Amino acid sequence: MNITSYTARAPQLVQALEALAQRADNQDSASTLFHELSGITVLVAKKFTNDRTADGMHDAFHLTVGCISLGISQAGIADSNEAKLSFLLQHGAEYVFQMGFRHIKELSALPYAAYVSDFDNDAFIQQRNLKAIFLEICNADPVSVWTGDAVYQNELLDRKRNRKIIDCAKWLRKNNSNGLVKDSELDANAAISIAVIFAVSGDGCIVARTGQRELENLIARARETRPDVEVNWNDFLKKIPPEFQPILRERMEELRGTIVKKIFSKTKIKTVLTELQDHYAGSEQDIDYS
Amino acid sequence: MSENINLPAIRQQVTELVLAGSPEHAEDAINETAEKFGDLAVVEVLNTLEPHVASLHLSAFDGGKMSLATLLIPPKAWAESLAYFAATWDEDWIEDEPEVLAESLFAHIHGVVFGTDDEERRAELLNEALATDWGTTAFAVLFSTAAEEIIEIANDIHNLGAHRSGRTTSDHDVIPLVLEIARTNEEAWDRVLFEIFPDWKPGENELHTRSEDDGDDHEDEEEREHEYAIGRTTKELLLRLRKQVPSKSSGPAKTGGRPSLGEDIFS
Repeated sequence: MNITSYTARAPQLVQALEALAQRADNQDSASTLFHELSGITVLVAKKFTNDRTADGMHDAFHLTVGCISLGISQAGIADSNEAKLSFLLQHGAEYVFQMGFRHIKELSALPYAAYVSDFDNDAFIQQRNLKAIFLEICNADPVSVWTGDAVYQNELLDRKRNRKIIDCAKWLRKNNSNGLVKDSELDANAAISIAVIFAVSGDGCIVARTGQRELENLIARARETRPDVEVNWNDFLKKIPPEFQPILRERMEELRGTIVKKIFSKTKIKTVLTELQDHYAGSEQDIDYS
Repeated sequence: MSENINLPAIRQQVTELVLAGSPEHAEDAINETAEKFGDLAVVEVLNTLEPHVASLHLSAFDGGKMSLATLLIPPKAWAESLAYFAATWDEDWIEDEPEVLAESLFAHIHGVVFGTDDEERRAELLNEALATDWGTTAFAVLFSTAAEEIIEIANDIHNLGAHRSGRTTSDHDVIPLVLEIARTNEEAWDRVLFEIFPDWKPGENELHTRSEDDGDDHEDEEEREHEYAIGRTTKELLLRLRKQVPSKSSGPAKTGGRPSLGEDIFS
């Protein structure tokens, strides 16, 4: 498969304009588009770059090209210049820009990492993140190639996955056998790892948060009783809502040959604990030793 | 207020007629509006006309022909429209026939200012016009055509005050306008004087016309520059006025017919 043929191409807006240039009677459409694009560029400059400098206008111009191209690329229309042009003319540049910008907003609202922090709801941070992702994806030089649409797709998949991981960790916290875990910050991957690691014992508990003592006990008991990990994990999965099972299964695959193996091996408990703390439990392990 | 509903349509009609080069028909529409809905409706229509359209319309009714618009245009709208008066002048024209242009400008301003007997309206017209740079330049153009008389009356006004001045050795057409300004708004009068005589330092030098007779006598002229403030010529002032014409109004009406989303493109 030739990947470059997909990614290395001009922004969709430019493709549509190439189709417009081929049309016979294009004066009116061109003039309308020109006014719309100019207007959008000014608004983008006012909001994101700077409408009082040539550089600011220039950057806003590239963002306008990119955002409209993103709108076209995600509209699910046929991959021909003519189809893109028809779509653009039918809806008008402003609406297509709005579509593109809504995609950016949607993306920006999804978590950048599988982590919940106090700052997520801060309006200033949100605005900053929105601007950062807008500048990253929609910066399209009309005379060059643009891959923003592909970047958007990948980023969207990544972030949707993050969202899922966070939802799964939240569910685990809510159903924690020792009661709901209350903490405004959440390291979702760590919570999931802890739950999977504790599930090896087969005691039927759901553990989303731990301390060092619990981990010590877990290792000691595991080495003593040698529980059947696969059976216990299967029992554990039966308690989990189906939408989260794939995530946990994936994590089990990951941990089976690594930390779980070490828990059952003759490795020193102290070494195993350090590794658990550093690579798996992270901030979901309480600092207090009690 | 059913008549108000018609105003945008009338404004549109007047605008189209004026831009199509038919000020007489536009005037007919204005007269009809006045008959049907009264003068206030006309004032409202004139108030909402784009300034370049108002200017184009008013300039078609200078001197002999009278226009209802001349009598009714709100002072502020008139002041705005003045900015566009010089829009049609090209530089060759200014170079070749400055007197003709100054004359047409005079006919226009005189017509509007003295078209009314209402003292208050006249004062307001002058105040609004002279509150703008282009208005000040426009008046300076008129007065530069009679520089000698202007200096004479300026000195009179300076020495006696605006209300006791009035007679000059030759009663030029612009003198009543000068007195009207000086009596209405003394600061505005000073601004116009400075526009004509930018080097004037009251108390230090005297106003003086550029004399053409002894133009070759450079030594003499240089010497006099310390004593006299030499005025700008009509031609210079016309060029200054031409340069103040706004290059573009808020922009042509959208042809696409699709209303703009504005900031909503980010929503």
